[in-house]
Amino acid sequence: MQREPSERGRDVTVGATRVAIVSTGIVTTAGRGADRTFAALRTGGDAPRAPRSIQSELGGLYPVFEVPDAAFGAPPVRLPGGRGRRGTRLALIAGLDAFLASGVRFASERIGVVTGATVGGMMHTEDWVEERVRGDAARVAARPAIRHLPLWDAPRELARRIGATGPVTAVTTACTSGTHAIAVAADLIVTGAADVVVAGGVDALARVTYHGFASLGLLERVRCRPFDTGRAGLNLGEGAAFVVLASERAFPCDAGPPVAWLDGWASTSDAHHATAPRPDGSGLADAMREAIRRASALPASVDWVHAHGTATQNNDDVEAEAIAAVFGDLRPAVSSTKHVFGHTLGAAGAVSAVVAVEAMRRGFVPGNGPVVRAAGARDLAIVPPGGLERTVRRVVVNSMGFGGTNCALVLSGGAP
Amino acid sequence: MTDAFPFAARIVGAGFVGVSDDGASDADTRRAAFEPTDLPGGLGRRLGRQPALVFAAILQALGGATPDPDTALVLGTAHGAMSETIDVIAGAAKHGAAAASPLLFANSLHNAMSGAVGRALGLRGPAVVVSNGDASFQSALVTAMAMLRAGHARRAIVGASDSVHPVYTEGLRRVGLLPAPGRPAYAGGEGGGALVIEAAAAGDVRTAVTHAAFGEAVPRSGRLAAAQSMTSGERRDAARHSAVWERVRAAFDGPHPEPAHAAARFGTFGSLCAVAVAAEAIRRFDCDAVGGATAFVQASLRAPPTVVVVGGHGR
Repeated sequence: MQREPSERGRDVTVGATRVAIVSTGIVTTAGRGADRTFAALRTGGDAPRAPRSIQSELGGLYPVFEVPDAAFGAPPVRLPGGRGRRGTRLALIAGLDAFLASGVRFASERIGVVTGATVGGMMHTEDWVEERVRGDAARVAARPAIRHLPLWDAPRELARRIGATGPVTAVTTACTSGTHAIAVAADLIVTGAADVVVAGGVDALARVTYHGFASLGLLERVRCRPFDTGRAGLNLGEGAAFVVLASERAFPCDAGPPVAWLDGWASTSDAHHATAPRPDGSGLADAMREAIRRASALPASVDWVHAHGTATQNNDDVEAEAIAAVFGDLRPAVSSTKHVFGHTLGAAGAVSAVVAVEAMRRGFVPGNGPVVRAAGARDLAIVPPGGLERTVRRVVVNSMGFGGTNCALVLSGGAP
Repeated sequence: MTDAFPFAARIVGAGFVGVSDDGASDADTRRAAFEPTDLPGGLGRRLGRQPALVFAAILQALGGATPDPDTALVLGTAHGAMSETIDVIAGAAKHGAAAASPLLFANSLHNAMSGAVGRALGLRGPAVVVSNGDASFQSALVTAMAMLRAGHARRAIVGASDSVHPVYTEGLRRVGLLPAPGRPAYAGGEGGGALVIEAAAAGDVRTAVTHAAFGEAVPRSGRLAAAQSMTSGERRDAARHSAVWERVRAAFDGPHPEPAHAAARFGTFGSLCAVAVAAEAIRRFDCDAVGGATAFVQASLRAPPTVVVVGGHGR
């Protein structure tokens, strides 16, 4: 399949191949697997609760969406290393579920792993630093080693278990890490550097992010309300989600037909502010436009925009501007799912991508939380809380993050 | 390992900031002779050490040119903004969680470096940060090359940096990775390096990255590696060095820099050797791009057997 020449780059064609999504894996507060994920999306899921996996004096104030203990079992993921490797365990759950479901059989050097994450083994670092600050001599002496933020622990461990010896790396672009990991993986496939890439995102809850978001005044005290006028911030969550991407050219494999296609992906920067997005939404709008263009698609073909929708004032205002700028009167369905999973940071974009794939398979658009809209606010077609039973052929997945990073994906249904 | 990466990129600029030749006396604090305030125009005033190191290297690599706003930015780091990360944790531990610093938290993210550089240079194109231990620069380079080849940009700034911090140094000492009587020094240190690359056809070898491969998952965990003796680690590293340098020699038909020189001079956390040797080759051979370089694998703890061969022909 040949693609149009890119406006931004010299050529896209490299003997370009379409990128198939062969299978998915996901673990969130809703539990493990797409069925539990969609059961929660249909009902709205459980309310966020005080954190249990981290200890914080702010724990009573800001509820979170944690992965339940049961999700770590059946079959259990055995991995030494204590709580510092909670994120790696989550990545193994979702990554191995995705890979085992894929049925792909390729030479190991043609398989890669790309994982988005922001905190990695931060819990080890927290313990190490806090014990020193508090002068806890006994614990300092007992702790054998520091492993500072090993973001690459998850992709390497996943690659080791899969037997992948192709390109392996971690991608870390704040809250766009998950979408960027999928985009980087797709580049590896269309350029021929790999035939199959297990790509996704992961983050476990960590005190430093919990306290950091609290310090920025971005945490909500009740369930978050994306796109609602009265929204007051986000709920942190944790989880992991992976897709198995494969080169169409390398198909057929034993996997059967792909469940979806990744047809477009694009990344842009705001060059504006350390934490706030560019107010006109032009960075995210450019990412969506470029991803749609690369998919050789038209905005009118997009049935659903899976919004980043964190429920912070800045994010939702800017994202609404960007969606309106790209789609105008077309008004595709728009919803966020962060009121169900929380903001899973490095996993968020990958969670959205897996939800998008499964939404197309199921013919169901997950609902946004209830919305009260102020006069003058952007008139988006926000999906009602119960969701919509309808055919979904094409989805745009948005993400935005600190540092002024934007990434958009375009996914299409599995029918050729 | 896949022998050759399937595409090439032309190198149009290189820059680095590393520990100095005579800076090896105190291996615990192998800091580069550099302060963020050394950046021109006050650019470093609000930057931490780790993003400032890569920014300084990028400015060198740009050579005074203003990058096009669509230029891609792909950066690597093993440990990210270590000082900010440790300070934000320590601050909350000392003064209470409610007193955590929002500015420190925002600057502690690994991609604070790309945000800061992108803002200062007005970059609106793709920006990605990768983290892959000692191979972080190599992963950034391969990611950027794929990005160019896939048509996301015509030109990319590729860089990497890591900084030292006493708290982390203590951790290295406790797992036996710092010098001790009878044991040679772990070449830990800090630095920043950058290349500016352009899309190029694979046949355009005179001044191009001709071969690159990355990957090969580590068939063991970092924990186990940490417990292994340095002696066996050194042997393994030496074997890797040798094999890697043979590839460089094969790809390089003129005189070439010696690995010992690079190893002694650029004992950083390891993301930087390709850049350092590239820049060295430019200086030494007066060629307009890169002679030959490799990412040598200096520490067994975090290093996957990952190789980037930056090849080409000097004049």
